[in-house]
Amino acid sequence: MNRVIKRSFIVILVVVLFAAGVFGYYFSLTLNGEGWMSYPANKHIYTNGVLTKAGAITDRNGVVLAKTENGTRVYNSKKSIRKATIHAVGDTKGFISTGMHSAYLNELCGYDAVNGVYNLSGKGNNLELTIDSSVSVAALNALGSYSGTVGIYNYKTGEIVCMVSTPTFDPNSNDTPSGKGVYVNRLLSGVYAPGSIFKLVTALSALENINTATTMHFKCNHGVTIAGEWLSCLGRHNNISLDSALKHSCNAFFAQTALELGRGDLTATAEKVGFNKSLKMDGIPCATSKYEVSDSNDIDFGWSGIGQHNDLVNPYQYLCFMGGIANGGESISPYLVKKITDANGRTIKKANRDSTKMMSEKNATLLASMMRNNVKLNYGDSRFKGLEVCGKTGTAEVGDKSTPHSWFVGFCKNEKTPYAFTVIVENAGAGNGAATRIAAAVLKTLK
Amino acid sequence: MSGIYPYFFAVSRWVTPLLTVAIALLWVSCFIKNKKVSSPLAALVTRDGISLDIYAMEIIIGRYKSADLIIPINGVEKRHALLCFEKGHWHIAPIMGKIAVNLQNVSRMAPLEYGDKISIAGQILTFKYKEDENILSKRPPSGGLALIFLTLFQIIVALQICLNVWNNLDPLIPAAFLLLIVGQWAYFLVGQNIKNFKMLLEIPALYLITLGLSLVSALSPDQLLKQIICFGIGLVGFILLTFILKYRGFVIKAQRVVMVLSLALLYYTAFFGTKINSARNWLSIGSFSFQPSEIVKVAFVAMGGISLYILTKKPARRIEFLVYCLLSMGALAIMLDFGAVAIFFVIMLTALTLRLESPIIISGIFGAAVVGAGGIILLYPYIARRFGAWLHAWDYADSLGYQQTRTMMSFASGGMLGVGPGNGNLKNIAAAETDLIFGVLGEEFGAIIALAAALSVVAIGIYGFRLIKNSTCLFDAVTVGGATVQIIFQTALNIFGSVDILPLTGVTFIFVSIGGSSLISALMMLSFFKSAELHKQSSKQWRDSE
Ligand SMILES: [Zn+2]
Repeated sequence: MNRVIKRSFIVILVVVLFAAGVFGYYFSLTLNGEGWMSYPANKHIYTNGVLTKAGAITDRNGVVLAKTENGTRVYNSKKSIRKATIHAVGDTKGFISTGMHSAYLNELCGYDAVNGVYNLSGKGNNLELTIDSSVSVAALNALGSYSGTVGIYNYKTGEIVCMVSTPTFDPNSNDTPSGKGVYVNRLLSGVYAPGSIFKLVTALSALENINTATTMHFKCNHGVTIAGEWLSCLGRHNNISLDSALKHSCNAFFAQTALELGRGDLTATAEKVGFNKSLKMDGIPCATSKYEVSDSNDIDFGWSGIGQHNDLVNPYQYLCFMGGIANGGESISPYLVKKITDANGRTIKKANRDSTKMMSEKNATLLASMMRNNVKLNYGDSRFKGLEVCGKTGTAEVGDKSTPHSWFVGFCKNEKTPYAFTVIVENAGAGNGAATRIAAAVLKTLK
Repeated sequence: MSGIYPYFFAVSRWVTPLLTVAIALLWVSCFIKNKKVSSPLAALVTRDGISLDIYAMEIIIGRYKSADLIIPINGVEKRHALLCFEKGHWHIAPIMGKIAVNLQNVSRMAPLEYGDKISIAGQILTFKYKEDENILSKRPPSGGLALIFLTLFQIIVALQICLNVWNNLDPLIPAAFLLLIVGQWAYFLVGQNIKNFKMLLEIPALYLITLGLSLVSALSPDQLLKQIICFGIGLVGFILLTFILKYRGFVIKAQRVVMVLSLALLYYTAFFGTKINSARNWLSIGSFSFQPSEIVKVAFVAMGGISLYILTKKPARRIEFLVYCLLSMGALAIMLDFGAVAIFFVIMLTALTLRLESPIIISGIFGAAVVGAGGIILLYPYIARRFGAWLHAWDYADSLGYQQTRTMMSFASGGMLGVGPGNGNLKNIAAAETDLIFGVLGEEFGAIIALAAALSVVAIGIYGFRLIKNSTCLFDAVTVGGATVQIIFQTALNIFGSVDILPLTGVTFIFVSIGGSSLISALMMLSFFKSAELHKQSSKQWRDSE
């Protein structure tokens, strides 16, 4: 009998294995449950694969962008508003993963891990967004037939007032949306070569690490030779200082500054302003800006200092960076969801407030004034009347034959219009063209 | 009345998980306080007055540690003699050594009375009755408090179901809950007259039965009457089988008849049965249909106990049992009921392990099974295709993984507290009431109560393990082992199959899945536990009654 009892360990082994399996399943449930729940076959929140349980989504002025009516999901009645806000709102089938319909599905449907899809009213929650639908429409019109994005946010409060991405589509249309990356919100998920807008990072790093940064000079002879190779510049700037180098976007100056700084210091500054980090906008993961020079040779490192080589920039990250310069070094994190209310109008969640110290107030002021001079000299301040725009353009080369992308990043210094912006227009030529024109057209509507 | 349902549910959905936690804690406390202090049944006393206590009804006297009662002196063989309590009497039989009782040489099984003198290798030992040394001054809890909380749970869930469909409420639903509540209290009160009665097995079983009743009431009230009738049949079966198992002699005699009958039933079904959900495992008599494999499962556990229980007396019917196992599994394989094949196989392995077959034989059988299963899959690739989505259910979310993904999706939709009995969507999917019932539990009752359901099975398993540890005879150990492993393994196949951790084989969750045959089978399976629980006392009671 004793030996029989000893053998009974196999019974408890089976019991223990079963219990372990049960806990394993519950572990998987806590990790993946939300994903399982949001499968479009779930009739608790979808009807025929279309999201219907969700509450309404409105813009900052109460304009309804999407709501559920009679068992279907309906968008704003104006086509231009639908097209301008679809990337923020999201489609009903989950193609736009960063849209509210996907990223805030749980909040919209009133789902949480404790209650599941249950709530007493049987209705979802409402989202009030920070975007302004009329500014968004202005951005959509300004972008015209170009692909690109316009992102604008209030650098004092963090509210994103404009987040438009093209190509876009009308969710009410039955046609299958066309256009390369039509479901991609380029502000959050795009990455581009930065071109000259990266010079702002190099300039900031110089201010941070070189005592004589504001007075030092480098030679520009239509370029400069680095490690035996030629790095060209668009002009012959002779002996040039930081302030005028930024004004004239001198490649030679910034390449030599990069070499003077060294890979470590420049990378450290880049990472402080958001490079190589997985940033999130209101909890929605964004594409990562990349600055990686640890294995590069000197000439490549020189090019990286002026936004070439393998540098990549996510427009949202630059929006945060611009906010940091504008707000005296402290970057208030941009957010989109102003508040969440339940079906009875009770506020259940307020906006996510967060900020990052990117640089000292002194360096922010110095950089801002250089950017201000740049706008005055190059782009014509009259185009941004009363806004006191500080900015920098960039041209991102894309292969040999295609027209380069056009960047314009910056902010308004005016107290009454505390907005930072990033604009990128694909295949639109040099930055001092399409991007500045589009920025001017949209910023005008903010006054 | 139906207007108050939303508010009643909004509050009560928090109360039922709390009651569940209370029931669980009370069960654990009852389990710990009932920790059995094992007391000897009898003893062999040496001339010097040293008492060698006997704790089981079948023990081997031998020289080394492998024996149950060790006499470490020269002349005692490794397995010298067998002492056993059978047919109401103690017996002794020689195995490898020579023995004498009251100086009379004994060559075969001989009855033994208290006071008899047994000679082993020149030693004289007196067989004596042993008084209980550890008489507990305070009676341990029998589970009445847990039953009170369970009753509250039942009332609230019944109200949730009834209020939800108040305007066309089937009066059978509240009647069934009332019947269950009255029945369980009658059982408890009658049980108070039985020595050492406790509800350790019954509390988790009743919790599962409550969930099963709730699900059939909320999901398919048209099947409720049938379910109640089957519960009645199962209850009668449970009481009868518990009673029959007391008469080992009769059970042993009936063995061959049961084997032949159960095989006939299985093969008849395999060739002339009805096919439902890809397996031909149903038998229809008029409008009444049932799954023979569910009933045969009970016989199978008992056969494992009988065939293998006699330690040394006769050559154990090992070959006979193995042939019976193979033929049974063959019939199930012909039915394409692979879930049942796996369950029968695991019961067989458990029986063989507890019967002390050598690890080589057991691993040989296991290896042969793996090779056999591989061979079948190679020969009949369509069988493998049925399990093609296993571990990749989301990749085949709308085809092969349809049922699994819907289960996970619905389970997650319920959150911790559920959307309420009858308010889910998973119930509309094929086989949701049986194979996917765990998903329905999660969706409608919430993850906490679904976890409690799974842990109820764990509780039955732990209780079964302790019964084996305390068991005094091999038949009890082998049958309780078989029943425990069967219950755990089948529930594992059900739960893990529906959430894509194991292949989906289509077996039921005991007491919870809707279905008459499985309910009867599950109730009868509990007989083995109850019988072992009561049997422990029988040798003492025999002395007391004389
Ligand atoms: Zn230059």
